[in-house]
Amino acid sequence: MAGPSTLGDFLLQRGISRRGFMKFCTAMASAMAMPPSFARDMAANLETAKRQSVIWLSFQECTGCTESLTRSHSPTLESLIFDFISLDYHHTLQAASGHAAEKAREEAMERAGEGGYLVVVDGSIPTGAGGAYSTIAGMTNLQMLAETLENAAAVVSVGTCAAFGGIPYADPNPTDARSVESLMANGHVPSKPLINVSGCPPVPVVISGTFAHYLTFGQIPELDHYNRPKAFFGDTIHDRCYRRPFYDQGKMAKSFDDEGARKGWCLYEVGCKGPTTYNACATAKWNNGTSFPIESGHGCLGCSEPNFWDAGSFYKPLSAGMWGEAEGLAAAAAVGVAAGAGAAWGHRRRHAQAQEESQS
Amino acid sequence: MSAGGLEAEDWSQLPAPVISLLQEIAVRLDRLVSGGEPEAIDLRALPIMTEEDLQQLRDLLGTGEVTATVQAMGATELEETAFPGVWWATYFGADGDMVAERIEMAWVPDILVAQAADVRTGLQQLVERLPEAAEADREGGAEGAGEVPPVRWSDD
Repeated sequence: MAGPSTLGDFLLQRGISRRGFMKFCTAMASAMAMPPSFARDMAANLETAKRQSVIWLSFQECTGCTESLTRSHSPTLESLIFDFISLDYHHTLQAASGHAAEKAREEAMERAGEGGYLVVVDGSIPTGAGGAYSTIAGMTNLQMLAETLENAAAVVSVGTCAAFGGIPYADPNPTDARSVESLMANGHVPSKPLINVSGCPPVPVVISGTFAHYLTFGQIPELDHYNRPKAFFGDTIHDRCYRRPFYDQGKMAKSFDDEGARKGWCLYEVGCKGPTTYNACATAKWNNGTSFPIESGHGCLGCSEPNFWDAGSFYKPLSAGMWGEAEGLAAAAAVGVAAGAGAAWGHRRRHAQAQEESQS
Repeated sequence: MSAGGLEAEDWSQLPAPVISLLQEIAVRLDRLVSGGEPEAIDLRALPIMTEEDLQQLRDLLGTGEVTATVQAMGATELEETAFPGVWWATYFGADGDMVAERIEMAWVPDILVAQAADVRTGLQQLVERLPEAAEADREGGAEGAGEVPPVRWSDD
């Protein structure tokens, strides 16, 4: 099959002008907080790059991550990423079904060869009952992941389920769900370079930007302590929140629909997890840049963090969960910035404890 | 030069972020005129800038001789400021949502320049259609039309 040899040729065939392509690069550089000159380098590198073969594995998931990327009103810049890659296998998006679908995965692996393809996983991997909770074409998710990772160049865990276990992993974790990272750590699947793109679902531009970075440089971007790209997960929601000045002044909504809530004050006391949540919502926003949860009057749920589902009530302040009661509240309001930092520290410490417990 | 720019009233009472950006623009513009590459400042990467600061900066920079709109996967609006070579560039997605906003220091902003690959494709399409036009002409379709002059182009 004589396809276009480079991404540049492919774009021409698809009728996407170079100017449209340059705009994509400009938008991505801006979203990734890269220096503006990066857009030029990116355009130059991507144009001559080969289209990357991608195998997308959907396991114990709700398809929300795929929806996030594809349901933005097309044709958006984010969805352009699908033109930049050769998506050789994706249950939801591919036309083939049954044996032909599975054959597409096997052929893509064979064609690309060792280290020639990128694996994307969304969904956690159930390991209970011999993996019987989720199987595809007679293979358990664990078997399929192990087989597909064998010759992969790298793996991107898209969404909190693939990255950290997510909702299937929530207590009592009936299917014994695991994240890709934990399966690698335990040697159940081959270890490959890993990028976690968490969020429930992740912000569209965070998914496409991570791909764009990988395609541009052929290597994984700089990652944080949870293996998430720092370009998108470098700041907390709280750091970049437009309501932050109210927090610093101690102006808090005490309940939904009180005077403070109506005035748009900080939602810390009604349970906002912004101070301990690293994600790009406050700057990238949702629904084509319309808003993000806090802008709509609801606190952040912390969906891009591990165990967010079990991290106490969505409507209790962080400090209450942290210290057992609400006495920290007054201090938090008074101390302002420092309290946010303290809460983040406490959250990480608690996470480390939880990990130790789950591993023992 | 027209509105804003140097004719703006008072440059002595500006907020700090606006002053630093004006200085940065000056430094980068100096690099451009000294033979450097085009540069840009990403305005969305500056959380300390409030909407008011941005508007004030825009007013101060004023409007210059050129405005242009590029339609490629949504609009890109380019406005040269009262300072030649300093462009205010706003990039919109296909749905009209803003995807980037930059101040660009450039002779011509990158996205405005026709790209060689696009030009080659367009030329190819034009040349492919030309025989049709010549054919119609031979059949005497257009009264008084002379011969289609031979198209010449070099290979490089």
